[in-house]
Amino acid sequence: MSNNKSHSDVRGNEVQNAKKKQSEKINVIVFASLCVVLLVAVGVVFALTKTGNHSKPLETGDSDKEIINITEKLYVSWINEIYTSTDQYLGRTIKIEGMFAKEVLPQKTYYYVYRVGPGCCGNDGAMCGFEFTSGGEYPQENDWIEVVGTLEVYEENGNKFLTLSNSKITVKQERGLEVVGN
Amino acid sequence: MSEFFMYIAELFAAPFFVRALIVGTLVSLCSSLLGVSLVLKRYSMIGTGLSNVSFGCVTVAVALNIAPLYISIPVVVASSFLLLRISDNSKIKGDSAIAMISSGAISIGVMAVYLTSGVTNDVCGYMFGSVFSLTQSDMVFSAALSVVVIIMFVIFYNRIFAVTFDENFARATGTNAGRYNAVIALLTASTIVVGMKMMGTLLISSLIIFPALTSMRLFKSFKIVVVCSGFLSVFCFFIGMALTVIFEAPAGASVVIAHIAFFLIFSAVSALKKIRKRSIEINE
Amino acid sequence: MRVVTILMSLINCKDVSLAYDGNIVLSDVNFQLNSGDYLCVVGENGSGKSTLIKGLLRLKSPVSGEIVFSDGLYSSHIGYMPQQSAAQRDFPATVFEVVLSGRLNSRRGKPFYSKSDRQEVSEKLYDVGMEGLKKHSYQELSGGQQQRVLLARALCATKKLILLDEPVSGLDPVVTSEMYSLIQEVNKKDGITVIMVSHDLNAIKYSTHILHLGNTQLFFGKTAEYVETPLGKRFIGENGNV
Repeated sequence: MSNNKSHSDVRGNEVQNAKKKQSEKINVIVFASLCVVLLVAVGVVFALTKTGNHSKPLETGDSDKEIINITEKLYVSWINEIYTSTDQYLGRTIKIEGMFAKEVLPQKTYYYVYRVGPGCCGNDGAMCGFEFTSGGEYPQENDWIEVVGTLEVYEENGNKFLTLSNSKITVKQERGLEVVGN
Repeated sequence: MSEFFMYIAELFAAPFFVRALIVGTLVSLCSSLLGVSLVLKRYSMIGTGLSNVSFGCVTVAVALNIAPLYISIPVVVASSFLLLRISDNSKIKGDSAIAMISSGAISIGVMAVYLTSGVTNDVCGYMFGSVFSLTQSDMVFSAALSVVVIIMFVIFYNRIFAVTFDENFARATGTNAGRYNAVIALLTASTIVVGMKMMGTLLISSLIIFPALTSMRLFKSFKIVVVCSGFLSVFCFFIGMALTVIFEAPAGASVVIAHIAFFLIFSAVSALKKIRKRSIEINE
Repeated sequence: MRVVTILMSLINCKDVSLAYDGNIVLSDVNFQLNSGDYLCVVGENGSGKSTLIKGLLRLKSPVSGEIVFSDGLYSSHIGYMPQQSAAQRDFPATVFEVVLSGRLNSRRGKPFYSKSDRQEVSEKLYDVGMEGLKKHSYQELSGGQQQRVLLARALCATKKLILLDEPVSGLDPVVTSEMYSLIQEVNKKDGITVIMVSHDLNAIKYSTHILHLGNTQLFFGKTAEYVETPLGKRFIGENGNV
């Protein structure tokens, strides 16, 4: 355990180096903390504005509000979102593309715009989309259509159902993905 | 190119996407920090055990039509204490206990689903994660959790180091090691319950284990390992989300693939460093 | 010449019995430890040595009798050097970080270490001869070096007493004797009282007192006396030559 420097010499050097490193460290810490605070602030602002926390109650037909465009890539997630957080989307204008289907039942005819969503563990894919009603003409079965309508809820036999009302239908030649995963 | 930016704009217009980003970042951060302590105390398997218990709770809760968090959190927290105590007493018993509890919980969950509504998309979501079905309350919960975890790791860092490195010594110097272990168990359980929604039962434990293991390949100071794990985890999450959004890859798996990639990269760099060091020594 | 009118022992064990898992594993322990002593605790496996350690560290309360510490020695100010676990040998930490954790008990409530803490760590590292390696990774050290680091950590936690649990287990003979020299220097030069629990016969050479346990107190006294007793002779005889 032999050392050339004496104990106090070593300690003297230590103190000097420690002081230099100390002030460097303080600068780094201050800078890093400011960055973190800034990021957190941005994140919080983002979170509050973009997650529908502060959506004001909408009047039907509020044309200033953005149309919700259900994109092909996140189709299933959008449908899921609208069905689970319905209150935030009622009254909004929704634009959706999919296949057309008609269901004729004794009391009423139902019209659907849909795609085939993911099944799981051996199940077949399920219909994933919206009911809609329109003033105009309805297309052919399995046509690829774009529907722009207002999201509303109605009651039937004690159950609540979502529908796009006053919809504008456009038949499109170019078909999108019929089976979607996400 | 403008089509790309339009797509990004569309993404950020989707509330579920923003929530996914936020919850994902926070959960990644929490699990990686806690993971450093858990991995070094040889408690890695607990992540798997707890996530399986969480699956059981969530499926039973949904079958009974109760909000899942109310059942999951208490049960998973209780399980974490139970598993840690068993591990303490005898390592061998600990392994079997985890296996029993894991498989038991999953089968209870699957039975609950069968008895009520049949296997659905939901079960798939719980198993593999559905990053876009995170709710507002998930977001609030994960935010609160992250604040606690970060405060813990900043203010109690030195004690966490002492308890992780040498619990006997920490106890002897007056630290209540039991309390810190309990807090870590509690926070881990909470992180797993939220993370399970995002990553799925099968994959959430990877979020706990990988960042620490990857950082330890290259870095040898505890502080640097902790910081690196945090950054790495968040970064891998972003990569995973990018893959999901661009290629529609499954989110949970994409994140884990990113982690694996970094693990391999760090291992390669570490191996190269060793080779270089050895050749320098040989040349001297 | 200083006249000491009151001699208070650092630790006073009076008729102490300790239990483990409900069973009494150690009974009738009676010894006094004075400042500057070097006590070696010997005994077979299972003779109650680790239980005694827990008692001294206040991690266990005696089921009967009492362990009295003199003023100025809190049980949390004992420098403890426990045995290493396999997990610790591979732990990612720098030498400095490990020894710094020895300052934990002096931080009562304050979250961060101060400059004086770090200075103390540097000094203790210097004392054990590991100053140059302080930024090195703990994993990469040899067994002997790791033990020295843990000794430095124990020294950081105390000014009065260190308690060593098998400090040389797993070390080769040369490193072992270096370790013993180091501990002896700490005892003689810095006046730190030493309690060492050991299997190793060679430890007796350096000690001033011996405590031989066999689930009860078989012997306590000065080393010179111990080697003359039949118990002592058998211990030495069984374990080789001193």
